[in-house]
Amino acid sequence: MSEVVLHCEKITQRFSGLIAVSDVTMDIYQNEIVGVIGPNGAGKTTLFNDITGIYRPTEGTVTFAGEDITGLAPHKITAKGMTRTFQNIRLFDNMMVLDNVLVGLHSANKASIVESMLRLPRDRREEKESLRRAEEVLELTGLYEYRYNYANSLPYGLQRRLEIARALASRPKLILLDEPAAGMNEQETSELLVFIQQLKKMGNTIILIEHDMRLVMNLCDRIYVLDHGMLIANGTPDEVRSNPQVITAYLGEEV
Amino acid sequence: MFFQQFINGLAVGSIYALVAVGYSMVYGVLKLINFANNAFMVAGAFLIVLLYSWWHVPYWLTVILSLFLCGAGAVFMERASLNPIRKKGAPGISALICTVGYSTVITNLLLYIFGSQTIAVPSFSTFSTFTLLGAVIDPFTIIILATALVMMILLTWLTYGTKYGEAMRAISQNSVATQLMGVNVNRIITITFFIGTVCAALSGIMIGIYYSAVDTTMSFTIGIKAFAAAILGGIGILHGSLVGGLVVGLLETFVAGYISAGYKDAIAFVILILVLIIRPSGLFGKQTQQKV
Amino acid sequence: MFRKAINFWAKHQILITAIFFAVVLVYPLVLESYYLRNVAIQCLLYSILSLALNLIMGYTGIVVLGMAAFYGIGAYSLAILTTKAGFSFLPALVCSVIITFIAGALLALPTLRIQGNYLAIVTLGFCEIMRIVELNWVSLTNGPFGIKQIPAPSLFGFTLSQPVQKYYLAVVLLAIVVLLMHNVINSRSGRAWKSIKSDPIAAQAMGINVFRYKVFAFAICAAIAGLAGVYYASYIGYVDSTTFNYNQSIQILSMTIMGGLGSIPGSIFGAIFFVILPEFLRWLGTFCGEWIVEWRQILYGLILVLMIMFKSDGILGGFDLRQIHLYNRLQEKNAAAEEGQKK
Repeated sequence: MSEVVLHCEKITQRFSGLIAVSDVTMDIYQNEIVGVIGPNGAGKTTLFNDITGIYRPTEGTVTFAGEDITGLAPHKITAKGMTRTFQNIRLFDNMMVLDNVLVGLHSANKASIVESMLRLPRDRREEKESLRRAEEVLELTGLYEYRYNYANSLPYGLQRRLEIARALASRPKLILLDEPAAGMNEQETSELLVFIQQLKKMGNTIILIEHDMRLVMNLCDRIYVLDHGMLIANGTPDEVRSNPQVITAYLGEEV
Repeated sequence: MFFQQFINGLAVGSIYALVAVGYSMVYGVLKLINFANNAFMVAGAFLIVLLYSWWHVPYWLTVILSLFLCGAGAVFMERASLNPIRKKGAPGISALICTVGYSTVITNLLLYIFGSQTIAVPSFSTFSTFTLLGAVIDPFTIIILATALVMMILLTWLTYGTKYGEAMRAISQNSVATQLMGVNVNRIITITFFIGTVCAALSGIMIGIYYSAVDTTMSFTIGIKAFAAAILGGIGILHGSLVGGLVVGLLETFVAGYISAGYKDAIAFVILILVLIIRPSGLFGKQTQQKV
Repeated sequence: MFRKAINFWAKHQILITAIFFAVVLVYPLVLESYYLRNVAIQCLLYSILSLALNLIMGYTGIVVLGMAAFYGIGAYSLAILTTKAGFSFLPALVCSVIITFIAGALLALPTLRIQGNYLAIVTLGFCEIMRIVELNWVSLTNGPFGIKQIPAPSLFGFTLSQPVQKYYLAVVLLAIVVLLMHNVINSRSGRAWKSIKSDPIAAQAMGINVFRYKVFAFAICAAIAGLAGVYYASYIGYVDSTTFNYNQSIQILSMTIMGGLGSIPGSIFGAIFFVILPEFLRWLGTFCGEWIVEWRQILYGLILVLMIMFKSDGILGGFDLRQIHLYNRLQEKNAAAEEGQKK
């Protein structure tokens, strides 16, 4: 198998006595799409927050691209090449679509406030380069014609897409998608499926949390199943589907 | 000397405590810093001057009218401005700035009517001071202390012993759910504004009598000290406001007495900033974690 | 109607900015009245202050209710450096701006963790502490007597003693502030600030060091206000603590909010409006009695309340001229392309 991008070693997250994530170990390999599924309250988003640095795991370590990133501030982790989207869309509502993507390129650039104030060469060069990259990403995601619209004026499906575009812009080593299909209709979901497959073809590595089983089963190379904060299964979609423990956890739900 | 400072500190402190309660009550329900609270406080004192000294209304009626008018003013503010702002779902800071606006309007209206010089606030009776343990004590201090204590007991009973208080606390937990339970949320909020402002106005009157003077700058200086007191005790917590007010009052008097009178007014601000940095929930508040 | 005007403005932004500065430059040559010139200087001065507040409040989303603190620190720094330490104007200006920058950063470092509403009050408290210090640190500030005989601004040995010269100094300072702000707003850092205002958690997830950017926004805001203070002190030639009080802060706040949060022309408009308002009232007073002049402060509050109620981001708030221009141009191009296809 190819190189390990992300390695979580026995991550545990406690909130004043309550255990949200317990002893989770997982590996993500290069150019994989990995799904994290589980019933509501299984600790999926908490796990994401542990990985991206919003929470500091109570126990365990997160290794990203060979480097220990446990407890690092979120913006530092992003700068190392890990980006994410949010369960409830968190766009910069009152900024242009284009500017949203440009913010996504923040960590790719270095110009300081003073350099920007005086429009010094490095700032100008980076601005030009960023604009080019942002437009490229917008074209790729089919948002190019909306580039000068305000982010909150986009229809729901496109807002989700813009969030992914924003995460994609800085060419991250790993993208975490938190329920990208939430609130989408069938049409939008199947478009999303094609889109994420396209991302994989381009060489991206993706972890996604998702409730839409059809999407997960069709999309993911491997799946981790969480229940009550614990890892109860992992494997290919077929393996997971036939795992008795998973069926128990999802009793009554179609798997 | 020490005992004298102590008594003075207690008196001033209880006044701060009452104004702090005004902040606390509104904050407890709405998570809003009602900056107009301090303007209503001085308005209370000025109304005494207007009604009693200028228009010769009987004193007891003056007090009632003054308290009522201030309360009504706050209710107007809530109904005319704050409620619409909340309905629009504007960020909380908008409401704060709105109350800053009201505070500016009220204090300057008072400035316009009464001028910028300090005005003597008439007392309802004359007291002769007496000496206790070497300290000269104005009997009015005892009235202030007693009033503050009685108000505190009343308010605690109101919040923890009545249906109204129950609704109030429910709103502070979850306003939408409370509405769904059939509670008239807007009415409770209105009542809260009224009671909070009456407390502030009452303390304004007592300040006016205690210093036998009032001017519009007190709105800011005393108002913000009371706010510091509310923060110190944990804003939204009634007994916290009492303790906070007394601590601020005492510290201030001791600083004035032993260190420097000039910097006396800065003490409250230093406390305010330090508390917010070190323990934002105050002495009696529970530390809460932000959720993502 | 309003929308149309904005569209027109967005399209001819450079032209309109040029016309504005042209008018500003010609103004003192045409109108030689001392009074009108003084009013104009006030407009320029408050534009700078209002822009400073807009940077932190309109773009970064941190409400500062104590702007007068930094204004005062700048003014006092210049006064002390020139009258007591023997600095000449330009070095004193640079030092004063640096001092306010540091003061802003020092206030921001411990207090930025405080939740927004409290922070607003803390800045107010800071303003009051500064005023009390200015009043009581007699050895440094002369206490209640203030500092007198601050020398007029001078540049490279040339003293700007004439009012018209001082006027042009204000124009230059405002132009510099506008230019730097315009540049930074449409850059990596400016976008970082805007994203922090919009959603700090998402901003952090984009790799933005939220705390650092907030500290810098605070410090730069303070430095700009300090610059205004420097100008004020050398223009009036006298400073005392009563200038830098709570009411001053509220006045600056009203200007920024009414003009428009996140709008550079908005801040200038707000400043001009609130400087001219009392003059207008004074003029009105000659017809309907002096009482109306006293209504100035009441009107500040009233406008603040009404603005917040009906358009909380101010008259020009929410109109990003750059975005409007780009958007309209794209629509026009698309429409033209469609037209072409039909043919």
